[in-house]
Amino acid sequence: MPQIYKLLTGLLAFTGTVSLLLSGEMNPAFSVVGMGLFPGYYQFLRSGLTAPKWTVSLLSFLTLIVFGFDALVSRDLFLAVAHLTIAFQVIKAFDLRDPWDHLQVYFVSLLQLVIASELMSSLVFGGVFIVFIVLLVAAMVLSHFLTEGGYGMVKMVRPVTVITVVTICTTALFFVLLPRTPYRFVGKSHFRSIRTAGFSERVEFGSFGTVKLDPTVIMRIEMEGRRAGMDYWRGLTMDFFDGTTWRHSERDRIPVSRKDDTFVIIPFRQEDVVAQKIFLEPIDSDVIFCLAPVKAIKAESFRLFVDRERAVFLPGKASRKTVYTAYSSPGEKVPGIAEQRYLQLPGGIQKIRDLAGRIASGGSDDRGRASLIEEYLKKNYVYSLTVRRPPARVGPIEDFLFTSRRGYCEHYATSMVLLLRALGIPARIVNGFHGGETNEFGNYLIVRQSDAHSWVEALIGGYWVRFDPTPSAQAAGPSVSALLLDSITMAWSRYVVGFSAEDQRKILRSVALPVALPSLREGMRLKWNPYFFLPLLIFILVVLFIRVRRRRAERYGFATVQFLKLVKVLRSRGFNMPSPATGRDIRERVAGSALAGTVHEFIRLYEENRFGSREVTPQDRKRYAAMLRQIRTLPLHY
Amino acid sequence: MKATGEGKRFILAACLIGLAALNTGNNLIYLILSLMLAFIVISLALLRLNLAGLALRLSVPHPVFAGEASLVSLSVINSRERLPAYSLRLAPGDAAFSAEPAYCGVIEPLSVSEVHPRVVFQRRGYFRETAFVIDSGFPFLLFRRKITAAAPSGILVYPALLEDIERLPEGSAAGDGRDFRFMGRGDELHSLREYRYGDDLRRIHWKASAKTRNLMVREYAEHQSARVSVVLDNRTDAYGVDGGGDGSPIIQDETFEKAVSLAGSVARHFLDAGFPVRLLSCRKTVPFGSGAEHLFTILDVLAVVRKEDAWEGPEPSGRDGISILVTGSRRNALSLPAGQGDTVLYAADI
Repeated sequence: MPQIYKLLTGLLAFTGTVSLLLSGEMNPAFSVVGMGLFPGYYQFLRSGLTAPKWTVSLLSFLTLIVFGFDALVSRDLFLAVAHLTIAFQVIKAFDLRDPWDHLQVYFVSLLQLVIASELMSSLVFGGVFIVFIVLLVAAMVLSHFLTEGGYGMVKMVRPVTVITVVTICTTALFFVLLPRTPYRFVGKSHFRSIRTAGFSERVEFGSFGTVKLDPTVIMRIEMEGRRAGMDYWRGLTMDFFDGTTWRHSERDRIPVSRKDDTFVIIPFRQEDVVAQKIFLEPIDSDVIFCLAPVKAIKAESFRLFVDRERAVFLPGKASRKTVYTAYSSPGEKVPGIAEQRYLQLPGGIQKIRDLAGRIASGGSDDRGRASLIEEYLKKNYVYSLTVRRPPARVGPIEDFLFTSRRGYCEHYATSMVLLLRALGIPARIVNGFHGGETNEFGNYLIVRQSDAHSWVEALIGGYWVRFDPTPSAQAAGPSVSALLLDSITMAWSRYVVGFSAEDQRKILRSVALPVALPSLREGMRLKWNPYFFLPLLIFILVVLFIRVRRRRAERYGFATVQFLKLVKVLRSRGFNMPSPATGRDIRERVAGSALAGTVHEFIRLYEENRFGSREVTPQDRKRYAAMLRQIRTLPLHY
Repeated sequence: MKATGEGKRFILAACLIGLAALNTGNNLIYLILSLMLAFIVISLALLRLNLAGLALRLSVPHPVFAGEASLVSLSVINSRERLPAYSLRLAPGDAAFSAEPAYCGVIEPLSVSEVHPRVVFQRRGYFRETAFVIDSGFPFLLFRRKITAAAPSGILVYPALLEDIERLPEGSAAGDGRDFRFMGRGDELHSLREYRYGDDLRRIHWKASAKTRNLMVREYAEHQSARVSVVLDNRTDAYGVDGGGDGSPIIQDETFEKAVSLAGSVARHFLDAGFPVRLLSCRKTVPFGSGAEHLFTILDVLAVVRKEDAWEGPEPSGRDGISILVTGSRRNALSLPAGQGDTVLYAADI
């Protein structure tokens, strides 16, 4: 058995196992078990020795016991199977006897990859997948030649390279064409969602501090017709504060009806809204984020809910990466009703009431008073993520406002809400994300965990008005290489992980239809679009060309086709050829030119093939091609 | 196109992964499913491409005899201009012959690959084309595809020649005196042998019987200077046996083939001994000749000789030397066309 075959089997086993370990979901004990691949394949490569049968049987039996125990204790058969495959690969590394054992390793590696695809969706999986394709193609082709007895007779590099490239292209084609559904029907997802702060119905005060240094990407956003700036990506509102905890007291979720694949919350005109295509990572909440006020959400989902606070919920999205397009009309006023809950205050805040009175004394109306408070907080407090614990019996806001005077967005926004409410102005906290960094490689916005933010909405004059009392903090931007890598990650998320039926439809429409069909509102006029037509036209022409060539060869025979080519080439070189031309005609016309010798030889070969008993051999075919090349390129005269 | 064991397992795995993809809506599982479908489609497409544009040509460097292994030269021609052909297995595609499997690793575009399998033709005859099955599982062994390709061969397969033929007259061709001794005729004592039922009692050699304590009889032989006419009785009637439904005989092809083999063997026997030999049959005649080349002239006729309805050829006469008649069975002994046959050999007795 050749070393390269053994090595490929080892690498495939390694790739499958690594894909599981990289997911981070494996029990650490099985990471240690996975290390067994190294001694197994090291020994296999060096000596080709295998473990005694009884050892393999005993280990297999023990593995099955561990598998049963694992499944019972963890109550997760999926992960137990993942662990089992790792153990299988390790045992198999010591027990590779015949080609079927190698095929088993390939199959189990494939299974490991399938399991890994349910445990992670990062770009790493893409890398592992490409490596897997290359190794699998090489191993399968090699396995074929070994079984057939052709190993050593064929240079493998060329077929393996060509087949690998063709496999990758065909895989991409199938990936685009396969009909799909974004829904999960049976079983739970094993994706580990990102832990966030502020998007559950109950948020402990101070929880934002834990995420403000986390660079994990939460979402990537493509804006249509508008450049992203320091926008506010609204998530969940909080209206009840008990001194240490904020709560979202609105429990009723209203289902939004769907038209085609768009959930329309408020009817809108296309030209009045800003579309934001958002690629949201799996997070531990079913709230989705967008610019406010949102009018509609386009998403591949069965259901979508909103509540009276205009928070939008996409159920079940926490288990997967989600792609949705939000249509919002930023700048539009959002009406609101003054409810008692927007004026709720925790007990013992007299000092805060006094402070509110002092700050807002110069304000003539609610807007003015709110602006004064916002201004006051921005100017008199220091933004800091290192906040000390307040002394006993002192609330965190009291400590922030009167003692430490240092804090982050949560402190500022909560303080402002309490100060506004103290003045009788209805207000609420909004948790979401603010800003993000624009990635020029791909022209999209990256929003990270560290961009999590709290701001304030105050009900002034019957409309909700946004205030952000947090002073801006300068953060170092990511390096160019980080942005480049993120653009690749974005492409992976956008075109692979987040590839949707809508994307399929777009591609098929652009390839299949030579014209762009307008929407019904524009009537049934067809817009001619040559760019759509071009690939189809090229395809048709190529097919026609191949068919005509084949028909011609079938009709006349190879030698005659070559003769006709000769006539054509000689005409193109300026010889006046009669139609039809005979061999004698051609000889007469090229006599005296530098081509005469080659043309004579050509015609002699043609006549032997056409009229003599000589069959066209592969050598003859090569000779025809070579002579035609010469006739095409040689100078006409010496 | 047929799925192999591995191919069936692979398809089953692809179906299961397809179900998983549909159930989860996970694009990464769709990606793996796409890879598996790509493997299947590429297997099918490459198999079809791999076997397209191939042609075979068979040539035999040596004479071929039925039932005898011959080393042949089988050329596989790839007439495609760009694509090489990989991993081809060649096996007989016709029951008329058997061959050991041959394998071509790669055939470059517009190239020829030659293999030299041993081929055994089961029967004599002219084979204008020889069918071979080209089988390939390239590239992944998930599927196999077979095509039958006819190799233009123009092979003349000679009848099988027998080594030992009993009851042939012994002859020598030393010097100028070519003569025969015909067993059982004449008056020259040839040998003694044990008595068999039916032997003439007058031929018992009492002295020898007393010595050996077994009945021994004399065998006589007759010398005849001659050329040899091998008469192949290829009339259909000569190969009929009783048992046909309406009283008509059943024609035994096997016996006829034996007779052809026997005729060839007899011819070789006498040509090897240096005698001029001719072949007579219902319609075809090979005139007297000698030497190895003449044997192949006779074998050329015997390779394609068929049963005929009636004898139309010349009958051997005494002045043409001896004649050896090869016919089917004793059943038709009375209807022999060449009544002058000095020796009659029955194919059914072989």
